[in-house]
Amino acid sequence: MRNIVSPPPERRNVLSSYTSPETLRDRSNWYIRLRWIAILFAWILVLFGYHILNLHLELTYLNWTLGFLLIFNVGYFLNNKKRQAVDRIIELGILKFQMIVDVLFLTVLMHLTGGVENPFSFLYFIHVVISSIIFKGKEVYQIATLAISLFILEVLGVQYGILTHYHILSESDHLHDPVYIYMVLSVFCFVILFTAYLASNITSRYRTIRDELIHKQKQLIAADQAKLDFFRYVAHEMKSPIVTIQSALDTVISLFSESLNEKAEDLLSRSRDRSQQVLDTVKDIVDMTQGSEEKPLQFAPCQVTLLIKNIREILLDEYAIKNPKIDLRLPDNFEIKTYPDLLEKIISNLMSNAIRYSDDDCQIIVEIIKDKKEMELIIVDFGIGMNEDDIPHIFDDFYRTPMAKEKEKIGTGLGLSIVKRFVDKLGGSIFVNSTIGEGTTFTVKLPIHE
Amino acid sequence: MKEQPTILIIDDDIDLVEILRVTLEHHQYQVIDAQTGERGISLANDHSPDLIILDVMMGHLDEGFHTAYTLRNNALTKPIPIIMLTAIGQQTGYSFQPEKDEAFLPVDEFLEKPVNPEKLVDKIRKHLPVSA
Repeated sequence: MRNIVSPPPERRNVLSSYTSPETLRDRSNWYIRLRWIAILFAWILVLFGYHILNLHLELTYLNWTLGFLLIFNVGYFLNNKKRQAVDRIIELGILKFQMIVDVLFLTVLMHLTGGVENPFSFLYFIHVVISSIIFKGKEVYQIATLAISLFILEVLGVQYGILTHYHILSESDHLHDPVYIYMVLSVFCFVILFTAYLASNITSRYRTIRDELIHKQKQLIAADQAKLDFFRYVAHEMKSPIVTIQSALDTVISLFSESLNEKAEDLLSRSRDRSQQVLDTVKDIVDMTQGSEEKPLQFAPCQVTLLIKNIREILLDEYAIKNPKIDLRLPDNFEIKTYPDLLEKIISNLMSNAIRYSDDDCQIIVEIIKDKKEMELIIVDFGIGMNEDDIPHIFDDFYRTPMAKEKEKIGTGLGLSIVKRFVDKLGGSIFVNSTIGEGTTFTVKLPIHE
Repeated sequence: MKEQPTILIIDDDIDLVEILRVTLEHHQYQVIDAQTGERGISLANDHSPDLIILDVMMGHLDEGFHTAYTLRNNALTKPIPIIMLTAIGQQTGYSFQPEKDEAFLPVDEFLEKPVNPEKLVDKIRKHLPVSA
């Protein structure tokens, strides 16, 4: 069966271990948004601590620090707005810069608000977690190490009198006890590193799973396409022999029926009807699998008015024996951009159904109502109609209503399911309105592309 | 003029050629046939048939179209009416309608397989030169 059914080769090694510049840019924008919020909260807390809690805060220094951070964030924001994300290394560099500057700012804020006596040192953990979301692997540990170093420098600097200590609370003895200081530092180092490990481990697992899902989804799409290609191939292979059988039977019945005995002619007619049935199914399957890689669908301008007139000619010829009257109410020279092959199938299927499920000398109305964004195709017949219970199933594959089977023995039950598929493909919708014995109206709404 | 009009069938499906031959000979036509477009073109030049029945899809997807182009671009074969048979189905009927763009598909009639014998004979009568 050639290579049509063999699935595409596994290509797991090209999985996205590579992060695109766009993804990095998304993370950068997210990080900038977080920073707006962080600055806002920091300022509220500072003002709250100073005015309500009466903490001894260096308000001027704090305002300057937060102001600088705000200016930095405006800079990052404008920079991202101005530049396209093209280079992965540049995007990564900008992110690293932001992260390092943030840890520096945090240390300054920490120092100004009491250093080790300030529980806001916990904010370092948030930075480590954020860095594990933004980066993968070693960058997370670099940020963790930076946080630890700055924290130790600040605490020891204050402890040994190199840096000024800004008290926010009244003096408390244990804060100057070296044992307490070293305990805090050790726990801080351990927890920061452990957070870095946990957070980067979880995010890397998440990324692996996500990549695998994307890969699996691609495989599924390829498998689905392979299945369609297979159906298409089989249908094509079956078509020519059936056409030949059909032609032979047609020829014998039409030219030699007089020299045949009645029973032989009857059997031949039955064979012809059955081969017609197979041929109809095969044709429908070919239709259903339209648009393969070797012959992709063409999106092109389509003269809808001319198309419907042509379909009418074909159907009047095909159903000459039923003498249908097809009434067209169409705008002149109406043209849209669409997939003409699909649109033709939709219209010809609905129109031939309208004739097939009506009596002889029936009337069919085909109308188009258009506005700027949408066209409405309305096909009205006054035929056998449908039961309310049948309507939910009419678009199912191979479904035929009992009345339809009675009216027309031969039918694939695929026509309307093809119509539904194609309408979906064109981004439209289809509605049906039907009363038993009075007729059926199909309305197809399709978007108009300029 | 010849007594029996000659019809050239160009189709790679030998069974279908035989089936068509039965119908056409039954209606007193002379039949010659070719299994490839190339051979068909050379037969058309040598025998000047009165009408050509051409399959749209032979060896590859559009061999029939190329054959039709060649026949129409040759002064000798240009006036011969061509009826094109297709197994592709109506899906291409619109885009290949001869009247839509005559230059694109230079054939006189376009019939979908399987063609009913009576219908085929009707179409042949319609397109045969009156003198034939």
